[in-house]
Amino acid sequence: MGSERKTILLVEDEKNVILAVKTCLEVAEYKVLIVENGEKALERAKGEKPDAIILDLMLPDVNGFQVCQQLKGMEETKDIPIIVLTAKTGEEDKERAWEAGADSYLTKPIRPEQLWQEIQKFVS
Amino acid sequence: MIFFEKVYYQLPEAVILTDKTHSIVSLNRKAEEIFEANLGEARGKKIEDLLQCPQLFSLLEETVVLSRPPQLTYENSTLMLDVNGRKRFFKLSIIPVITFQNELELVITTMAEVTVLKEIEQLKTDFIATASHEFRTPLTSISMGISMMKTGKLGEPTPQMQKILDALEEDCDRLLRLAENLLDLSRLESGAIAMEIEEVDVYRMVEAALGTLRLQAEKRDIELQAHLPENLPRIRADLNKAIWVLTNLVANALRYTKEGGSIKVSVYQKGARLFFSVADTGKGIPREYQERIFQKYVQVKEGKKDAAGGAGLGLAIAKDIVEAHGGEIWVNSEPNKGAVFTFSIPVVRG
Repeated sequence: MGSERKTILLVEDEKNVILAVKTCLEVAEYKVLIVENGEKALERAKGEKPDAIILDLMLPDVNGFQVCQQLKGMEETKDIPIIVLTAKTGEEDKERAWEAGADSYLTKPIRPEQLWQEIQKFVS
Repeated sequence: MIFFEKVYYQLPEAVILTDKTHSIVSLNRKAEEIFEANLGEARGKKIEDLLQCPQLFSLLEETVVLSRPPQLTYENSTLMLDVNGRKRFFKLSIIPVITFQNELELVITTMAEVTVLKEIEQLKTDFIATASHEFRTPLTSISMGISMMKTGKLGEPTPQMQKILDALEEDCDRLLRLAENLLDLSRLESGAIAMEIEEVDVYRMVEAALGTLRLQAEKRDIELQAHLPENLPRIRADLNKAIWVLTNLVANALRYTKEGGSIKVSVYQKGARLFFSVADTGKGIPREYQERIFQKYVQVKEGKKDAAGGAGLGLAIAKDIVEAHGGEIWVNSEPNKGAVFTFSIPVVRG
């Protein structure tokens, strides 16, 4: 194991999904930060500079597409990889996420191995 | 004749009579409403000058040129028209009137309004789409939780726990498949999934459909063969959907064929169509199910429950897809002698 644990910011508002994803990431030795809305996501991302962000698209305040766009538009956060994890399966949504600057698009439900693999592509 | 004019004038469907130059010969009241013109104004005018609808025009052109009814599918026979600023939907039928001298005399076009049905269908589609999406969030935590426990990283499960976890995972997948199938079906029925018709190479299509299933067949000691003659023409199809149909039929055959059995996929041409058939050596489909099996939620239920589980949507989706291509799907089967599912898709003309 490397000496420094990588940090993942999880932006998700469903508490059961938070528990599952958080456990999945912790088992893989990631440090997990959790925020439940878009505004806090921007704040936390700027402040903590996580190694990657897992972003839900259906958030209670700002929608995920906007959060994604804003993160990619700010100097401090523009290089942080964003992995969208959403229940939206439509092609239009995927297209919109790419346009908003997402680095990866995963649909729920997802297997732990899939999530680990995807994160490893961006965080090593 | 005057009597008949009175009758069709009153019909709830729009009736439009045109000649071989597409000029209006007669209209009934409903057609006047749609065209926003009365018969006096419309008579003798070209239909395309009264109604901006290339879809209808090309079907009429096909009818006149070939002197036979056009090939209608669910998609090309549903018209969306803007009448008085409102979106309205119509179901179309086109009948040529041919004289004894084999000349086209008239074309009768009828349009039945289906706007309300379309609106209800849209509500249903939206509801199913929402429900299907709503399934995904709880399924995420359930399936992830199960997978995490199965890894043993949260503590080694006992053999009994392991068994239960396997069962939970299987049913979780089943729920997800159900949600996906429902979504696909409602999208197909509402026309929200557009057909992306292109010229498709059937060798490639069959290979893609069988590729993923070969391993499964091998594991279960079932012989899976494909018989394709050389030089088959290309078909007009949506490649991914055509693959989906064939994959689904073979997957079904695998499900109902015992170890040591065989499944044969054949493709042959008859006229302007290619026929794809999937023959298995399973227990067959009872006669009383052979028609109904393509309806939604219908499954053959005989004694023991189908172990693989399913919602009875696969064949309904397959039927929708095949019909949207202008083809047909059916099954031939005798009890204990297996079943042969066949579907047809038009070849590329010329």
